[in-house]
Amino acid sequence: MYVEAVNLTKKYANFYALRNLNLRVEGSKCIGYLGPNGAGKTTTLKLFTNLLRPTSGDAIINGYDVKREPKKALGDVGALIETPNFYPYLTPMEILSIVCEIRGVPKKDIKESLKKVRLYEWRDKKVGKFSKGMLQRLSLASAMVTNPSILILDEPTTGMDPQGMKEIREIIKELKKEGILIFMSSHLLPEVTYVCDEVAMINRGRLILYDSIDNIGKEFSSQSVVVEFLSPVKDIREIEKIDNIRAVTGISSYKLRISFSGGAEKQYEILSTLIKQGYKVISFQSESLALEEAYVKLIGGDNNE
Amino acid sequence: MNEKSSASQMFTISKYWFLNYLRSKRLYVLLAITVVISLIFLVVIWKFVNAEYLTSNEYIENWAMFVAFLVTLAALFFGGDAISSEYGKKTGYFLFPNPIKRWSIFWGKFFASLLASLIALLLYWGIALGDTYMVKGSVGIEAYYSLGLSLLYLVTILAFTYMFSSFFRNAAVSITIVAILYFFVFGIVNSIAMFTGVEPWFSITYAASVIENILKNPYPPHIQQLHGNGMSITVFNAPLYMGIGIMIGYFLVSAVIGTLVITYRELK
Repeated sequence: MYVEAVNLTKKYANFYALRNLNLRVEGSKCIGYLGPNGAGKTTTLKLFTNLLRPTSGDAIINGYDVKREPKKALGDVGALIETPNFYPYLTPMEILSIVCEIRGVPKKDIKESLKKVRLYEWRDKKVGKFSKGMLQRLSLASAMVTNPSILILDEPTTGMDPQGMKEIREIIKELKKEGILIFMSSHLLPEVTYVCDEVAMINRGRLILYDSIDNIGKEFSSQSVVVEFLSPVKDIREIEKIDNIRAVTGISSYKLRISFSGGAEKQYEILSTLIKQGYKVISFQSESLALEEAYVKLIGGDNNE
Repeated sequence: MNEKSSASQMFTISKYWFLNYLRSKRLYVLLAITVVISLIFLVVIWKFVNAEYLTSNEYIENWAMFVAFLVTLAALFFGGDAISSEYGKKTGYFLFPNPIKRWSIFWGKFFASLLASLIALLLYWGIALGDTYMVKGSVGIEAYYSLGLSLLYLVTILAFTYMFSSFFRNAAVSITIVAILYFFVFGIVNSIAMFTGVEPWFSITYAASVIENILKNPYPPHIQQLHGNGMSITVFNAPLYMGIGIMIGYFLVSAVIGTLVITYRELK
């Protein structure tokens, strides 16, 4: 199973929403699709789901061109694009039945899907009265109810409260275990770091990075930690003298950000030394900023809006 | 996964779109309007029309006069927002990414709208035919021809409305434009034709006159010149086959354009 963009281009008048995108994602993993507003993320996903037609190039899913053979290309794809609306007088059970019937799939998983997205209690209520968050949950249920091998998700946690966002991330993590390919756009870097295995980053319609989260971590990691002490630190210069520490900045008198060189081994040595020197450390937290570092470095203040 | 046939997917869309109509009470509202108008007609015809001097066809012609209006109302009720809502209300984001051809969605919805409109139209004709039979003791074959022509008109008007619905994102805009066309523009075109002497063969409401004219004996002449007060007007009556031809033409053109628009229109 794979999703591939071959010189995929979408142009509106003189504006390129997407320019010669070449990207192939395959296997059972989750790929985060990142970029600022207007970078071309949603355009790409819409081209892969037959909502838009490419100006040139091809959007290919499992060997089928989406434009020429949409039924075959989308046969094993579940999609959530923007926040869709549904026919207002139908119920979630009926909405998911439509999807199953269109795809020729038994309806046995409908209730299970609704339970996963916490809409089971609402299964017989008309969707016209649902909130945006509930519609988003129902959209996710409709994307996964037929157990597709590929999921294309456009900012799946948009419009949700923090609890809902957490639940959706957990659902996506669970889906990964079922061996499916998830191609997901997001604005939220921590979300991508938490859920995804690989990241594709685009800006101004062009792909600027495609790599695994691990590699990005190695290449862009800021290697800094935030250390919290029981009592105020009087002289941070003493701490700066510890081996491998590059810089120390005070967040407050109890809390310092320590930048260091080296990997996890060095991080352990620094903590040990601090304790040996009598500092009363009450918390020691890694800042996983690698993706943010990469994002800032590659895109920076290049805002498309 | 088994790939479902487009016909089967079309049936699925029809089924749930019709269910949406039933729940939205649109169908019941149109049926209520139909019943109220029928009751008014019953009272007015019984009170003011002297049925004794009318043939069965002349009697039911009173009923047939309203058919074109009812058909138009049904088309606006069920077709005005059918396709535009997929774009304007974003329901397309749910349906379009599925492995389904867009034309299956178009025609699935069309058949649901047709079924809903047919229920209202057949109720009206049922009352009209029943009343005619009760009052005149028989119903002429021409009444059934008129019914058949009104069904053809319904199919045509619905396809025409669907075509307009596929042009716009905003349901209110598509409904308003189609209503203005039916209730004003075509009427004005027909009136202009009377004064200019140019036959309005391109007007769908001109074609619809065959629904009433089929009940007249003899069938009215195609072209009639009337003179008086220093002016002359030309009255056109679409011959039966011309009326049918215009309706079929409208249907074909609307169906092809509507299907092409939904197939190629993007959901931006």
